[in-house]
Amino acid sequence: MTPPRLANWILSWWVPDSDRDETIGDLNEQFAKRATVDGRGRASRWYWRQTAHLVGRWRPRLGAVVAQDVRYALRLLRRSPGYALTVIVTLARRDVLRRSASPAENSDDSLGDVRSELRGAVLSRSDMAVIDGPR
Amino acid sequence: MSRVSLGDVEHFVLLALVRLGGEGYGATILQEITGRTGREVARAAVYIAMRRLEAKGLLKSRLGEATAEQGGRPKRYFALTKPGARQLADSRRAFVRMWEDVEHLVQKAAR
Repeated sequence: MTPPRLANWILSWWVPDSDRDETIGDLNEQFAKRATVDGRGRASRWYWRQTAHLVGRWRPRLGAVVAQDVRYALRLLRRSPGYALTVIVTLARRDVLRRSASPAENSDDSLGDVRSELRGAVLSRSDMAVIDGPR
Repeated sequence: MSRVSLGDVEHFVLLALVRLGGEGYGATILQEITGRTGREVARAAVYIAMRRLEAKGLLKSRLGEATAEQGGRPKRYFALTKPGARQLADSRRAFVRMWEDVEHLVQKAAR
């Protein structure tokens, strides 16, 4: 019996590499047992609740998220290089066009914008220290 | 007596492992705690506690083989170490001493 795919995918993305296999594996095992006893519908709702709980409690650090994204990008590049290169070229082109249309965005102010955007998001002080650098 | 103190969840994880015969994995540890205490323990708290205990050397872990029941993912088995067992015994001793002669007072206050 397979657990809800979307929830499973969210967990695969969210849970840090070091804990991913056992955390999701344990959840899958408990899901299968619950589905046999309570039925698939109730087990799926339980699985979603567990997913929401894990995502709420297990906040990966910014560095870990970036590293995870880079690894994902490299995997994608290896698996489908054509698609990955098209995405990279399209994004790079858009960025170049935006910068040439508005030179002000190329200044230090854009870094300031990024900083204030990040401050608006939920980040720990240590994460902000990494972004701001030593003072 | 050790200066390291155990949190509630850490205490439960170590005791669950003893009850499971010295070795267990996430799902069985969670079931043991929930079944015994009747409390729904937060899953993330248990995994974080296991990692913390491992870092302190109170637990050790090994990766098992991938199983069908886990959807092709390997289980991580945790086992109690000697320092872990000592820490549990120390914690129990400390609690028993603190409870000595005051149990009736606590029950009276709770009424």
